[in-house]
Amino acid sequence: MTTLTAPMNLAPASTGCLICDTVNEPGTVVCTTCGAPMALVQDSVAQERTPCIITVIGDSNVGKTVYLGMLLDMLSKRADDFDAVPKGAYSVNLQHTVISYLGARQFPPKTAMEVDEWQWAYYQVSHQNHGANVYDLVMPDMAGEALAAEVASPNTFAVIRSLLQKSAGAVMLVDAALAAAGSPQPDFFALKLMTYLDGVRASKRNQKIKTPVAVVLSKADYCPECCDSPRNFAKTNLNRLWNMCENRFERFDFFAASVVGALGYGSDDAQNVVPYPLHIAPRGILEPFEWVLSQLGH
Amino acid sequence: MPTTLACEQAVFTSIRTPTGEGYRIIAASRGLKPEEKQTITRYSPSHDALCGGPQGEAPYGAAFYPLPSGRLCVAYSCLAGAEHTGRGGERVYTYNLVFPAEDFPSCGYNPFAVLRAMSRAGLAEPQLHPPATLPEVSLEITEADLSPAGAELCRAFAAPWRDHCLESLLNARTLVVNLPDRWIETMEAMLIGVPGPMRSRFSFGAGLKFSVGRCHNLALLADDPAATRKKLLGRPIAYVDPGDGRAPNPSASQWVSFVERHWSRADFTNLLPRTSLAFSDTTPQALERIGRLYNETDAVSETETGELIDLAASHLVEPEDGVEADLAARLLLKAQTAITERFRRATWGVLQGDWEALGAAWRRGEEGRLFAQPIIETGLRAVAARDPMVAAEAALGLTRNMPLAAARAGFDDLLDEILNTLAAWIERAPDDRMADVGRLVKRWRAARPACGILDRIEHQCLAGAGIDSRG
Repeated sequence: MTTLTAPMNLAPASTGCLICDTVNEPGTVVCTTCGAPMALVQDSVAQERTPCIITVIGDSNVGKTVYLGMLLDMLSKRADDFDAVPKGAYSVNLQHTVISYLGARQFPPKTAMEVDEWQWAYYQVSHQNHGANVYDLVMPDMAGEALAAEVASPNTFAVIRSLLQKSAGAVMLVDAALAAAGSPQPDFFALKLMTYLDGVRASKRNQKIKTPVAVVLSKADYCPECCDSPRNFAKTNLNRLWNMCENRFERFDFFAASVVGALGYGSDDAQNVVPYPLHIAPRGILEPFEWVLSQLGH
Repeated sequence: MPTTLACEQAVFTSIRTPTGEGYRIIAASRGLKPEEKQTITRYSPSHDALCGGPQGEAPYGAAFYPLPSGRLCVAYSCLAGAEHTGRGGERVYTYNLVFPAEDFPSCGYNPFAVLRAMSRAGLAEPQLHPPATLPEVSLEITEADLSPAGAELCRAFAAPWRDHCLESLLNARTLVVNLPDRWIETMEAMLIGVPGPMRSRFSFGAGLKFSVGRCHNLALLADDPAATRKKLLGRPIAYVDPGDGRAPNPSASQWVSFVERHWSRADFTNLLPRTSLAFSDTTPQALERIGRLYNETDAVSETETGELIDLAASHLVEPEDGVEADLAARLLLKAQTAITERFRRATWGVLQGDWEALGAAWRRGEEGRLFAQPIIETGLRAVAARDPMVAAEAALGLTRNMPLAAARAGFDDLLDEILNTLAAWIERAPDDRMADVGRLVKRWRAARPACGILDRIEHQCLAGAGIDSRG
C-alpha cells in the first residue's frame, strides 16, 4: 500500500491518525483504531504537508511485498533520477527485508493478516527532472488476505477502507503468470478490487472515477508476451478487469513488471513447490509509479 | 449429566483453492452470519501468530469471545504443515465453534469444556480440504469435559501476579500477560476464578501473539516484551510480566482471596462449581459480598464460637437473595453444625460466655430461632448431663421472651426434660444444695406457675430437709 503526500504546503494541525483520523492518546505507537504506526503522523506533521495517498493493492501471493521493497530500494538508489529519503528508520525495514531475502535466493516471508504486523515505510521522494516537487510516500506492506476479507465483507479491516478513501491514486498488482495460464482468479479478484474501489470512491454512479489506477501485471518474467503490450495482454487475459476499467475509471493504464530474472524450483517436506529467485533483474518497477505521479498533477 | 450443544463451525486457514488463496474462512456452516464471519476473520491468527510451544512442542492456542450476534465462539489453533506458497513458515489452522450464549450455563460457563469435547470428537484435527459448507454439529459435552482437568497455573505466575490479574479482570480492565508456557492450562485456571455469568462477556486468547486487531480481555502469551509493550502504548491495556519487575501489592479483595485459597492448593475441582453458580449480581460490590461468604464459610472451623454467632447474627439481618441467600444459608448451616459440635462436648464454663449472644440470636425472628435452637438444645442437654442445676439456671434465662414458634417446636418439652433431669439429680444430691434448689424452683415458679415437675422437685427438696410437705 503506497501513500503519496503532495506538496500542498498545508500544516496538519491535528494529531489524529494519518490513515483513519482517530485521535490517539499521546505516546501511542500504533493507532488504536486502524493499527497504522503513529510515527507516520509525527513525520507528516514535521513535513507540513497534507497527504494524498496512493494505494498498492492485490491478491495474496501476487508479489506486493517484493514489488514494494524493490521499488523503495530502487528509489533510494536514485534509479531513473528519483531521490528518496526515508523518514524514520522503521521505513527502511521493508526494503531491507526484501533485498536481504532476495540476496539469499529466497522470497520474503508471507505478510501476516494482523494489521500491526505490516511493515510501513515513509519516504520523501523527488525527481531531479521534475522541478522542486517533493512527495511524501507512505506505504504499508499489506496482506492480500486482509484486502480480500475487506472486499468480501466491508469493514472487516477498517484501515483498508480508510486508506482507499484517502487515496489519490492506486497501483493494483495482478498475477500475470496465473492469468496467462488460463486461471480466471486474477481477473475476478482484480474485478472485485476495482468494484470495491468504485464503491469507495464513487460520488455519482454516472460519473467515472477520476482516481488514477496503474494495473501492474506482476511476475511478467513468466509470460514475456505481457511485456510487449500490457494493454493487449489485459484485453485478452483479464477481459473483465479491462471492461470494468473502461466503464468506470477515467484514468488507468497497464504495466508489466518483474523482479527476478530466473527461478529455480524445489519442494518442501509437504511437497509444496518452492520457487527460488536465482538472480534479480527488476523490470518495469518504476514505470507504474512514475505514471501515477504524472497523473496526480492533472 | 451430559449435555448436547448445537454448534455452527468455521475453519480459518490458508490454502489454495480455485477461487482464491491465503488465510480466510475456507469452510463454514450455513447458519453463520456475515458479521460473525467478519469477527472470526479478524480474531483468527494468521502467519506466525502462534507462540512457540514449550520445550519444543508444536505451538497451539485457544481463544474465546462473544460475537456481534450474541453467540459465543470457541477457537482452537494449531499448525498444519508448511505454508503452501513455499515462502517459509508453517500454516496456522483454526477451528471455530459457534453456539448460543443461552447454552453456556449448560457447559458450566466453561469454554474449555467445549474445547475438550471438540478435541474428543476429533473436530480440532486439521482438515485442509473440507467441503465449503459444513454441517451444524451436535457436540456432546460429558461430565469429564465439564471437570477442569486441564487447569494448571504456570509456575512463573505467582500469587501476587495472578491475584492482581484476576482483580483487574473483575474490574473490566484489559490485560496482556507474558508467561513462558502453559498458556491454555493457566487460562482455564484463571477463567475458573471469574464468576460464571461474567464469562460469557469475557474474551481471551491463550498462546496467540498479541495483535491490536485481536484485543481480548485477557491474553496469555510469550512474545518479545519490548515489541508487545510498544504496541500497547497509549492503549488502556496493562502489560503484566511476572518475570520482570516488582510484584504487585497483595489484593485486599474478598473474592480474590477466596479464589487464591483454591488456586494455591491447585484445587480447581472444588473452585469451579463455586464460581460457576448463576449469580444474578456480578457487580464488584456483589462479588465482595459473595467472596466474604465463601471465606467465612471456609473459615468456620477456625473461627471462635462468639465470632461465629455474631457472623450468623449479621447474616440473619442482611437482605440476601438468589445465590447469595443460598450461600448465606450454607454458611449458617455450617456454623450451626460447628457450634453444635463444640457445645456437645463443652462445659458450662466454656458455653457461658456465648450463651447470651446465642439467646439473642434465638429471639431474632424465625431464622434466628431455626439457627440457634438446635445449638441451645444440644448445649442444655450437654450441661444438664454434667450439672443439672446449672442447666436449669441456663434454661430459666431462656424462658423470658421465648419465641412463640420455639414453644410450638417442642422447646417446652426440652425444658421439661431439663427439669426432670434436675428432679432425678435431687434424689442423689447432697443436702446442702437443697436451699439453692429451693431458690431456683421459686424463680422457675414465676415462669411456670402450674408445673408438675416443679411440684415434684419442691416435694423432694422439702423431704430432703426433713419437712413434710403435706403439713
